[in-house]
Amino acid sequence: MAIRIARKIVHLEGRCTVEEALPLLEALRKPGAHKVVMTKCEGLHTAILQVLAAARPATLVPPADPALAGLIMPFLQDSSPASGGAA
Amino acid sequence: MSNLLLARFIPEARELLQISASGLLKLERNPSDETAVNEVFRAVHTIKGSSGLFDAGALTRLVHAAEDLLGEVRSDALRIDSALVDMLLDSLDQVGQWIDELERRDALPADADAVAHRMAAQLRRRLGSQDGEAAGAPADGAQREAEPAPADAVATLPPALLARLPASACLAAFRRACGGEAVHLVCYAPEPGCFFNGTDPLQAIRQVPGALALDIAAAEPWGTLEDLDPYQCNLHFALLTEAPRAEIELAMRYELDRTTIAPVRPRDLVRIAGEPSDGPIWDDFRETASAFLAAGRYDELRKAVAALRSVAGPTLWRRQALDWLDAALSAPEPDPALAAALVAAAGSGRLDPPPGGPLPTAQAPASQPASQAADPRRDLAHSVLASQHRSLERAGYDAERLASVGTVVENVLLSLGRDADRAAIQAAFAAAREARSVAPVLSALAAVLAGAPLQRPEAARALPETDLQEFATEVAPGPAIGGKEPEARIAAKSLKVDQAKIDLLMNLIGELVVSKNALPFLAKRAEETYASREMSREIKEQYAVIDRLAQEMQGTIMQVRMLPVAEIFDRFPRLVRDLARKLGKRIDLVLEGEDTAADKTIIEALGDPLLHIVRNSLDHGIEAPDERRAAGKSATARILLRARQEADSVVIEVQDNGRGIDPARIRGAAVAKGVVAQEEADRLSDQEAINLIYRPGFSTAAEISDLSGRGVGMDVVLTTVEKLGGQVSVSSRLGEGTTTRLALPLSMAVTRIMIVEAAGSLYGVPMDMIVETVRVPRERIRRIKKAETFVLRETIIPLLRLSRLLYLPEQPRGEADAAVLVCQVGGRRVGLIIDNFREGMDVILKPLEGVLTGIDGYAGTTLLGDGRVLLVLDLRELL
Repeated sequence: MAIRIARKIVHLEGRCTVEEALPLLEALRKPGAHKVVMTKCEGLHTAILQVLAAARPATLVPPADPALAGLIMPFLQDSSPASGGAA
Repeated sequence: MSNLLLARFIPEARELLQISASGLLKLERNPSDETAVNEVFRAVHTIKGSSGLFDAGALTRLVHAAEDLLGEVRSDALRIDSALVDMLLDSLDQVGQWIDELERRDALPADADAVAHRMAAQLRRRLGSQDGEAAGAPADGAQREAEPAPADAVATLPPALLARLPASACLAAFRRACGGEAVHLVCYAPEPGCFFNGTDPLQAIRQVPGALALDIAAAEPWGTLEDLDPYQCNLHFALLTEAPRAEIELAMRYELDRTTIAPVRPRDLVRIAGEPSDGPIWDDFRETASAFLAAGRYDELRKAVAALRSVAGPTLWRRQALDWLDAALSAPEPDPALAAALVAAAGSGRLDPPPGGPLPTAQAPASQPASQAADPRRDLAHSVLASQHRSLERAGYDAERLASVGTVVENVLLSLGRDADRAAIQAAFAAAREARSVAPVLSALAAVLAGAPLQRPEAARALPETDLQEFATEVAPGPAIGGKEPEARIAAKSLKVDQAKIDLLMNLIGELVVSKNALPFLAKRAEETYASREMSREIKEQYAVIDRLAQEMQGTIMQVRMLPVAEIFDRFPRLVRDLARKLGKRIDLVLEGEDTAADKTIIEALGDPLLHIVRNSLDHGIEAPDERRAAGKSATARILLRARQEADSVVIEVQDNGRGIDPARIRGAAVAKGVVAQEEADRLSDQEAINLIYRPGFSTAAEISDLSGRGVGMDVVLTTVEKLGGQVSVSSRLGEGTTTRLALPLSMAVTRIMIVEAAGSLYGVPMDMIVETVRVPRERIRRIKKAETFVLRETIIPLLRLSRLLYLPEQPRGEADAAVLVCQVGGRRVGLIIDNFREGMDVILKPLEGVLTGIDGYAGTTLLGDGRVLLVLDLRELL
């Protein structure tokens, strides 16, 4: 599994596939401020991307891979609330 | 595997891959072999066609690229060479791996798309480079010329997209756009349900080369998280790329119906930021520049711009406008409207809204009605039709290609809602098939492309889902037009059956053979117990009939299980070719007797040992070309793989004319590796020394190569073959070559045994170990010290008592002579003293299982006709 959930922190690691969209969504549906750490993420399916965009986690740590970060972060930061975007 | 179609596709695809690979090898030897080209093309074409049914887009794409390349080869537009064959073989290997993966996991690996794209691009480069040479222009340019971007379809840039692009990159793109290399905007709106057919839109759009900036946006505003369906794609993508249109279409070829590609007007790229400034210098510049511009004196204008740029501060808004102007002017023939707008901007300090200036690729007819300008589908349809026209023109008449072109064209027209044109095109295709010429289709296509404007009723504006479905259903029967049906009918004569069913049938027949053996016992009882000789005779008569039928059934089921050795031989041409190229050796592989058949288990188990032997030959046996020439041999070595049937065994020989095995070297190596002691090595004859290579832990390669010599030496070959009840022998002459001979039983299913009596019990002895049976008078048994022997035709044969070997109490028998079974065990003859001989019989041997596995000396058990269990001895372990 490329998704690892530790309480309010969701770690996305390696290649996240379409199957992982549902567990991710379920984790982010729980009330409270969520933090999503993508540092070790190497690639993600569109489904994961849109769950992140829709759920707007309070804090989003971008992937270490600059190419991937450049691809998805502008979009995710646009759709994040002000607090998330600033973080 | 859940999918029945997939289950059928996988073996078929493997077979086709095998056909393609061997065809390619044929082609490499003889590039003008038309049968081989057609064979390979057909095989690859079929794989492509069938793979389209499954969620394996990457596979289809790669095979498609290979097919295109082969199509060129077939039409003599491309010459086949070793590098090309390598590339194609690599691609086929990749496809083979994916097929394995599909079988294992029902899906392709995650990186398949990327790999497919890379390999397909490599293949297409080959295609492109030759095209380029033919046209006498760089490939890129040729393609762009061939596919003029219609000028009226202009992209509207989403503002967010430009913001994503760093100013410097934007300026560079602008400069290129002004120079005529259009920057394209790719808008991709994936189908909401696309995740279910395995599409990953993000991955797809990332495949587009030359990306400058990507903008992702939600198609519908996000609702509450509770209502969100993560499997409905709600994202739209907009990508700015500097790749030419053809490359974009290639990358997005499976999503083209959801994608629009349009060139971006350079004017739309202009983005100026900076501090405001003022001064007379700007007004002066505006005046002189406008004058130069009006007179068309671009050189002087360029100088004026350069002069002002060198003095103005780089952070100023107007100075940046000059940078853009400079870029616009860098084109050999600058666009006056664009230059004027920028001159005005630099002069006034603000950029006026675009006047709608012409585009870089301004060759399109200006008479197009403006209402169609914004419809990207027109432009897509135009390019698709144009490319079909081109490919038809190039390929000439070919029923299969014609059929697929027909499907594409019809679908394009269908989606445009042009029924009249469709009818005309259909008629043209029918005429083409009849005349076996592409001319009618070409002229019809040209008419559609040039004459009639491509318009469509408003009703079809949003490409309806039903259209897409029609597209899918129309594609499916498409290939059938190409005259494929008769082929399918011929193929239907053979039947593919699951091996498990055959095995079950064989087991049942085995049981039948065993139960049939009970009838003679019954006959005996009828006579002895019930004193009915009549009944006994009738039973015996019936037995004879059943016996004959059972044997015929057994023979037939064996035939079913028989496979030709070609099954394993077929992989060697490819293997030998690859290894030979890697090692820089020249090898001519000759296969003989591929039709020789043997049981499936034997054939399958033989693959690995044979592979090992051939690799050994290649690696150690065959010398490098120079060395061979020095030794007075031809530079090309020869490896002969020969199979033939000898009595009831199949013999396979691997013969090479390499350097042969040097017994002295083997002795040295064996001693050095501690396989044998020095004294023992000295005592060995040359042949015995050569046999040392079968000892575990022996490997002569001085250094480990990636071919052989990994420590798993020839002993693996020996154990595998002996497990199958076969024998291995090597003969070698130094400097002349080596021959390895494998002899294996034709079938393992039924073993012929002889039943013997010892210590009051019955035992079975495999017939293939028995040399003869003799009765030896007691007085002829001589004792040499403690060992008993007797002389059989002037040879001393050692005698052993079976009851002693089995630790059973001996029962002294008063007979005058002893029953002796002369057996051949491990190359030596041994006489076994038993109590009595009984009949021979065919049995199905069941190995010892469970807690009995560890007991030595028994090969297995079988059932006797009267229901008793018979233990079959394994003399190798016993002696």
